[in-house]
Amino acid sequence: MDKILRIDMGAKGGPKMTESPLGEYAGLGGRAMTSSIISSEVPPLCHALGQDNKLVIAPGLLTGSAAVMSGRLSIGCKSPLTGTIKESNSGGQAGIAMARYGYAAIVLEGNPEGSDLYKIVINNKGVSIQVDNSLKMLTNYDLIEKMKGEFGEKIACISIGPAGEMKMGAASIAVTDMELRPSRHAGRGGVGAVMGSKGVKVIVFDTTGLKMRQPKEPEKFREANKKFTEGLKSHPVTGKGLPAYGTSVLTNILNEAGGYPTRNFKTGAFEGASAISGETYADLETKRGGLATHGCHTGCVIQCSGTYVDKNGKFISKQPEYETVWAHGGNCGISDPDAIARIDFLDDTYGLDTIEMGVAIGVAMDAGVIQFGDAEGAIRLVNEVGKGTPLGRILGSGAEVTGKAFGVERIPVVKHQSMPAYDPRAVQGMGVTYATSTMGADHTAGYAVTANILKVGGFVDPLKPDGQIELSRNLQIATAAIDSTGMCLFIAFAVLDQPETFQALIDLLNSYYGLSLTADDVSALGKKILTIERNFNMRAGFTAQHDRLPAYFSKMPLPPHNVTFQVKDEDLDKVFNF
Amino acid sequence: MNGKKFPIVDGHTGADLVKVKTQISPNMLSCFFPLFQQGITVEVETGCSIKELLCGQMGIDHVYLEERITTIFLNGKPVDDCAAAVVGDGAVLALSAAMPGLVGAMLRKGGFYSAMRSDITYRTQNADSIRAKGRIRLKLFNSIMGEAGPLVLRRGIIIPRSKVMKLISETSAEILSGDMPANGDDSADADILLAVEILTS
Repeated sequence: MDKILRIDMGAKGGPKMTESPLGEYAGLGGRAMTSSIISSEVPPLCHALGQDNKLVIAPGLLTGSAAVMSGRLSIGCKSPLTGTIKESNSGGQAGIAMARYGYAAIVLEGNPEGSDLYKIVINNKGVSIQVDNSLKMLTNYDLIEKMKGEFGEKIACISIGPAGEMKMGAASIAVTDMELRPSRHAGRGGVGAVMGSKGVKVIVFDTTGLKMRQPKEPEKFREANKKFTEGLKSHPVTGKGLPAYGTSVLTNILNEAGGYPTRNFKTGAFEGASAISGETYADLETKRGGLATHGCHTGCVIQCSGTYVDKNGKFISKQPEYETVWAHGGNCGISDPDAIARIDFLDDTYGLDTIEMGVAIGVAMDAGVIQFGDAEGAIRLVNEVGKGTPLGRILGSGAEVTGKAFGVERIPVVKHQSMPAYDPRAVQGMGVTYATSTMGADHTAGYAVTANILKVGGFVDPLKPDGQIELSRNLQIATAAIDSTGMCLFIAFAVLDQPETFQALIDLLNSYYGLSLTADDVSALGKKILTIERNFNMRAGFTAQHDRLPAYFSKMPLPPHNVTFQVKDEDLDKVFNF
Repeated sequence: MNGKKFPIVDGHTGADLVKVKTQISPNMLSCFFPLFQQGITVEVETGCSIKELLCGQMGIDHVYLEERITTIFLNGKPVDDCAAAVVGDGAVLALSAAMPGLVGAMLRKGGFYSAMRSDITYRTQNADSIRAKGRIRLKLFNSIMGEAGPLVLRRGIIIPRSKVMKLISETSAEILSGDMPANGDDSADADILLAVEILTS
């Protein structure tokens, strides 16, 4: 990956592209690349849907190589939902194709005049940018069928659905998976709306004849990859739990802990949890002839996904993720696994963040728009979003707008972004990360559990009063670093427990690039990314007062444990004291 | 395994209950998974530690408890030390393997990140330490269902007759001993002590 493709969609006379060497961005990948470009080149006070914002698409440092689990793709911009810097990442096949074409980043700049819609095609002849207004308001699934008809099956696509074209705050960017389904999404923060503002409907990569990226030190790389794979396969989470049950295996556990936000965060336990658990989904998939163990991109050895089918064996959606099942399930009082899978499909095809949509519908249910538990009503609401009705426009703008429109106090957002599936009153450490993340409420911001291995800022004593602050800080640092490698965050579980697996990850990077990085270097990268992001947010007008949970989390106890969020503001303000 | 060598283990008297023993084939075990997730009632000696209950009374291997059952909840609270946490009468005990995500790491017993959920961590209560026969609700999640479920079923679970009938129908179970109360009887939906042997394939 030695070049950046920039496409000025607002250039006079139509879009113009340039290719340039990496320059100051050399050595960066994934989130490090997207956040560096956004921070350097986007005015923090610009309108997120205006011509000054940029959409940066960047594979990770190892994406496109033979390293297992390395197919992630980062997408960055100033977020129209949060107003902060944003990095949202996705699995699927497009990151691999992009990296193999040598692109460390594709940057969409400027906004086109007029209402034309474009498709960008990248093949062995080069890059072409074409007006194609026949794609207008196509859903992601219909769009990909059309692209298959036009370009054949050997393609990978990055696309938006109608929600992106309508520039909704909940709009996602879809990435096709191994079956050429647009089922993988950079979901959070309204990145799809920014792609829509650039007038780009789809980027098509022809994958014919693409060659794997080669490491500088092949023998060392092969050995490190072998050890890394062994580490993942031998770990109980990455080797057994996730492949067997998917991420929804967390449903029963969070519910049992009383930390499963139910009916718009009113209680921490849902009576219907077992009906929508990962165990139940896996059992249904197996009995109905779906697939309970499947990867989202080539080279995945964890295989936490699946294919969900109806009673007649007909495809409904990919196996919905834990956060999706929660958002449209327990959070809305819905315990019908088929209905949730149908909503997951609708979110994917309209191009919507499942978390933002589920929380927005939960808020609407709290307001009495429909009743909690009304699965058909929820499906109707998502369809309203896809069609862009007035109610759909409100819901598609996210939970905060929905709450304001309907006069709801209980709006579970931080920096305007919906909280995911873990109530911060029961799991306070997660609340620290929700409050202080540079991205708004985000469960993945402090995911890479490596603090005790990295020893960032010294060994943390979790029993100290400020232990949760230190833990959250270190987790956010480690996550930012891993987000730059192209590695799936789920590797973190094996890395946590097995120092040799963490070392294998560093060895992969070193042997690929001929470097001699240490754990300290990795943590330094994480700190650098967070500093860049914090700086952007500060210039965009964000202060310590934005690093807070909504007040009701400190006032309204959460049954069944009847706990409130107890972490003090002055402690939250210490999180970024590196 | 021969059904005649299939005792309901000592300690699970269910003295006032109708007792029924059945056999099912291994591929029918999943029919019990919804029940495991919702919780099954078992009779045990309460007032002892989780470790004593699981290993001493239920017959779960110590190493398996240590290495595989890494996430335990007692009355909805994550447990760090299963040798110290005491199970009282009426308790709800949930068992899980290692879970993904930061939250999975936080909820793990004695885990490095347990401080991040300290407000809901289980604390021993003296009132629970009275030793007596009692009933608890046992929940099994994820891979623990398939691995420890057969042991629990073999020991016997207490469930309403209607659910026994449904399970027998779903699993084509063979009744080895015991008489099911007749449908329409006054005790038609009374609790039954059901012991299930999983046939070896």
